[in-house]
Amino acid sequence: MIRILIAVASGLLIAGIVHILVVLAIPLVSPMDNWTRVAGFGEEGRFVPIPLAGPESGPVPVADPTMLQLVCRFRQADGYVLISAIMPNEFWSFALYGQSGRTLFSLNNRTSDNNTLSMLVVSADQLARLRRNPPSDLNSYIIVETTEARGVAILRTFVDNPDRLAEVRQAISRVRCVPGGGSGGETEGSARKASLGPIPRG
Amino acid sequence: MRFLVLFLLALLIGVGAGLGSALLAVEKGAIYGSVTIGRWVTWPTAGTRKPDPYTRAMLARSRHIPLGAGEGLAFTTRLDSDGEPLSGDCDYVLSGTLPSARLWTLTVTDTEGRFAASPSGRLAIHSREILISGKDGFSVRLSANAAPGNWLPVPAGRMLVLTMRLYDTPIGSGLDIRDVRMPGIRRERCR
Repeated sequence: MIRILIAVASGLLIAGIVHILVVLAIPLVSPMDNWTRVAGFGEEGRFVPIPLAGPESGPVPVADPTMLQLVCRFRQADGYVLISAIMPNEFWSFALYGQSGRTLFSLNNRTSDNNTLSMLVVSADQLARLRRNPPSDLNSYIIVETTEARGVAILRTFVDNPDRLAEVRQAISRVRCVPGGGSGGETEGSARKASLGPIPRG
Repeated sequence: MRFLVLFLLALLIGVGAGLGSALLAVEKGAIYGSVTIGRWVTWPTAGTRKPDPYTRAMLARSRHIPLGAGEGLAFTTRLDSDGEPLSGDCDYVLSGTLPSARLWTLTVTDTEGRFAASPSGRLAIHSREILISGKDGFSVRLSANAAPGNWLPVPAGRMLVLTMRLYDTPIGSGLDIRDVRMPGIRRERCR
C-alpha cells in the first residue's frame, strides 16, 4: 500500500515537471511567430496593408474589420529602424512586436504627440553608436530598444463606416518604415550626421 | 516485477497529468495568465513586454497577434451567460453596462475565425454606432436573420466566438481588472 502511495506521489511530482517543461517548450517548437504571421502580406522593410478581415479574407492576424491595418516587418541586423507617420484625427493605435510573443511598445492616438508617430527601433549597439554621434533631432524620436533579431510594427486606424475606407486611407500620410539606419558605411571619424530626416508634423 | 509496475504507474501519472494539465492551462487559460469576467476571457499580459509563460504558450499556438497593452485589450467568449456554447443557429441578446473604453468593437466569427457572409456586409458593431436605450444600458442582437436596432449577423450553422475589443481602456492602468463589468449574453430562441 505504502509503495503505491509513493508511486502516485512520484507520479504527481513528475507531472509537475512535465507540466512546466511543456508550457515552456510550446513557444520554442511552435512553427508560428509574429514574423511568420504577417510574412504573407508583402515585402519586408516597408509598411504594407493587411487585407481587411472579412468573409473572404482568410485568417487575419488581428481580425478586427473596423481597423485599417498597415504592417512593416524588419530585420534589426540591417541597422536601426525609423518609423514615422502623420495620422488622421481618428482613433488610431500602434504596436511594435518582437519576433517572439513580446510587445515591445504600444500607444494610441491619445498618448501620441499631436497625431504623429516618430520612432527609432534600436539594438543596444546601434543606440550606443547613435549616441556617440547623435543626429540633432534624436530627442524628438521615441527610442525603443530591442534585443530581438526581427521585429513587426502594426499601425491600426479606426474606420467607423466601411464607406469611409478610402477616405481614411487617404488621410494617413508620410508613412515610413525604414530599416538599415546607420549602416551607410559611417565610421567613427565621419562627419556628424545632421539629422535623421524631417520629423512629420501634423 | 512489482517495482516495474509501480515505476510505470508513476510515469503514466506523470506524463498524463503533466501533459493534460499543461494543454488545459494553455487552451482554456484554466490555471494562470488569463482573467475571466462573466464568461469573457482575456489575457492581460499578452500585449506587454513580459507575457507570463502561460500567455506566451497561448500566443505561440494562436493565429493572432495580440493588441498592445497601450492600444487596448480583447475579450473573447464561446459561451452564453448560462455556460452553453454559442451556436449560429440561435439568437442571442448581449446586454449590460458599457465597457470602460474610449472605443470598443464587437465581432463574431466561427471557431475557425471565419466571418459571416451576410447580405448586409456587416462584420462588426462598435461604440460609435450603437443605439443606447434606457439609462446606461445597451443591447445588441446576435442573429443569422436581420433585425432592427443594434444587430450583428452570425454565421449560421457554426459554433461561435465573440470578441469584444476595448481600445484605449483604463484597465490595468487605474482600473483594476477585477472591477470590470462585461455584458451578459442571453439566449433567445434556436432554430
